Amino acid sequence: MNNWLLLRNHILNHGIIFGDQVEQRRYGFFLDTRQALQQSGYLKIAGQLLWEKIREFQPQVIIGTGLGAVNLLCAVQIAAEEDNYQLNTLIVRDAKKPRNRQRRIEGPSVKPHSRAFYIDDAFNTGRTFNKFLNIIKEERLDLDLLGLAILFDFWNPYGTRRLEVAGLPVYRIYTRHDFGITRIDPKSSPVEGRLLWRNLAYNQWSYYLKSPPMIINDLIIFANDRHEVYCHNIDSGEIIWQWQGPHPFQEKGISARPIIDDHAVYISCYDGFLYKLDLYTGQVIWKTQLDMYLHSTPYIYQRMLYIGTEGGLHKKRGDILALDTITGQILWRFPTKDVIPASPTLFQSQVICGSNDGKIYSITNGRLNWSVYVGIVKGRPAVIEDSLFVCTEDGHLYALDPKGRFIWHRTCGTQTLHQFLPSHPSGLIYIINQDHFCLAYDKTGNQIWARKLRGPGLYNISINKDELFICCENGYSVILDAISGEKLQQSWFPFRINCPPNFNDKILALHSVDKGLYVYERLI
Amino acid sequence: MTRLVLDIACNRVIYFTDDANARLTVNEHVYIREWLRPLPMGMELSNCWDWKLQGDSLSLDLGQVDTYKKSLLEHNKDKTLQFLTDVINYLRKDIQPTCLSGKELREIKYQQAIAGEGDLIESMAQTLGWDLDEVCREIRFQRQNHDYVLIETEKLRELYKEKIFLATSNDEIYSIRDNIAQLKNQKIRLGKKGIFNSTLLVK
Repeated sequence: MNNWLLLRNHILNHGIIFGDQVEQRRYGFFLDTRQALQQSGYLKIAGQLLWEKIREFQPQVIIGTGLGAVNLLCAVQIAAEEDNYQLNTLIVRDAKKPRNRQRRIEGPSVKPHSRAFYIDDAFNTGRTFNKFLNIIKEERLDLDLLGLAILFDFWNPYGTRRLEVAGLPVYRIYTRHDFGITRIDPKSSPVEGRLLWRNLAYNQWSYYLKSPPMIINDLIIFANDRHEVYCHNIDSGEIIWQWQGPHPFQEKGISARPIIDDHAVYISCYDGFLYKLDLYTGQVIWKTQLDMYLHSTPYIYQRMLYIGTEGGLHKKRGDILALDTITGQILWRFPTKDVIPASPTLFQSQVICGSNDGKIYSITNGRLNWSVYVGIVKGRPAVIEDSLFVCTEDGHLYALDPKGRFIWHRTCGTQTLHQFLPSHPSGLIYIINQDHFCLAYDKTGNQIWARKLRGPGLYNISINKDELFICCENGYSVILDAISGEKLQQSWFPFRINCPPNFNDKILALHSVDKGLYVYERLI
Repeated sequence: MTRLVLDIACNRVIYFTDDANARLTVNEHVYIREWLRPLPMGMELSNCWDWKLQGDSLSLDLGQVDTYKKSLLEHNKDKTLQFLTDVINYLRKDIQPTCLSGKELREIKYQQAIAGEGDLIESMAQTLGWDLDEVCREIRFQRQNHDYVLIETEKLRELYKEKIFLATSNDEIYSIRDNIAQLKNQKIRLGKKGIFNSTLLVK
């Protein structure tokens, strides 16, 4: 790996912090180059890269202002000296030093009209640079400024882009585009082709989450908040069967994902019932009332079905349940202290499920193994090898070991709602946050890539082979390469989407908030 | 005696009560039926949807699969009709009275406005500080506006209902649905802006 890529990956992982809190306010992302560069081994690389950029201009002086520039100035000077080149460094203080020589510009005396370069770690709107210009004017420092050498350029129209237009050359190692913090899209490659068909059954409630459509072979299963379930032929759109749940005016209706397993569809309805339907006829095989309300998406493994409930029956809160998929009989039930909109997963024979009491529970055969407080989790934890990953609603991602001990933790946005944490065989997990970012993490917690989207995301992300399909709430959709995060295709759909889309090599299925189901031909 | 609230579309029981004083509110989706016989065993408020009124008897009906298989076009037509009803209701929302018995009161006001006298309009004139003539004019205008909105929305409903009925392809239905969706953005009212509105009353 070359130095440029090595440092880029390091800054992305350690210098760009998503969802950090500063003075009780949380930010979409922050750049902290010092956190990245002051780790052993990386400052030297930054110095070398910057020196390579400016060497051909044969500068006599490098100058910078503020704490951010100090270590970089030193690194560039050392890189120049290793290159047998003599370079002087000037450091501009924010304010005059109150004691000793009371200087504002620290460093050796330089000759008038020395050839100089301005060095900085990051350049956004140029406020620091303007301050620098004022200081050298006040201090009557006469330099010939050849240009700016910037480690991270935010590519702000009021920043370096304006300086370049004004005739001051800017040399940058990275722009924000190199880190995916850009909304630039491949405009010529739309996601969707021809509209194949639509099902105009639309949602009636304004609740946030809707049920995602599921594709299985040549069928699409689609449910909405009117307690309706449809099974369509994927090509013609013809309805093979439709099922009307018994409570069409019940709030939220069906907002969980239909789960398909062994020629059956499992539907968890907000009326508290779990229904097992025949995949090919829609006949109810069994139904079981688990609680008063049900929001969780079931998890099925070897004839066992695991699900969380939202309580309501007998004045209790949510439970984690196991059922026999053949008979619908409840095998065990574990109570928690609050409702459970979250969906369970299986991790080394442990049923793992979050609850609105803020804890993650691990249960085996109805007995608690461990529980740990992380914050509210409404999505589904992910498992990669021997690690468990949970993402809380307030933008925290945790990795836990099989005994519920924390391995690592990091922030990944101000809000990350209902994350189902899709994972890729290469060991990446994906998060989409309300700050318009999709982020990929590996098992050890490294931030592998980030992509700026054109809208906030719920859990609207689905994965097929090496592609991620993301739909933002405002209709912006993009297909990303799952490994590199590169944007491959993008489109704007004329409807809002509050659930993950589904797709394969041929078609895209999108459940809009208020216009029913859309099925498009896939463009590749 | 028990009163059953039934869904018009499928005759299923939504609610029932034997409280003679209970005030049941109906809408366009439901109707009320008086039931003199005992209710079926096991029928409770939490599961009454499973019972269907067939003729004069209530029968348990758990088979929710549509035996009549609709084509996608027929299904989409039904859903577009449902959407049309929602949009027309939305357009008529502004002309609906906000309080109970508002319809009757509006009629009384209108009759008094035609006659040019009456205790209700006189008290309104006093409250608002308007001439009696002004109040009468405003009430007549509001009535005209009410009728206008009703007639115009009904024309739209009939027009789109016919279009939906005549549509022969799904593409046509999609386009009709998009057109109906755009109706939501329209303000259907008489050209002249009424001078009587609630903000004046608040003042």
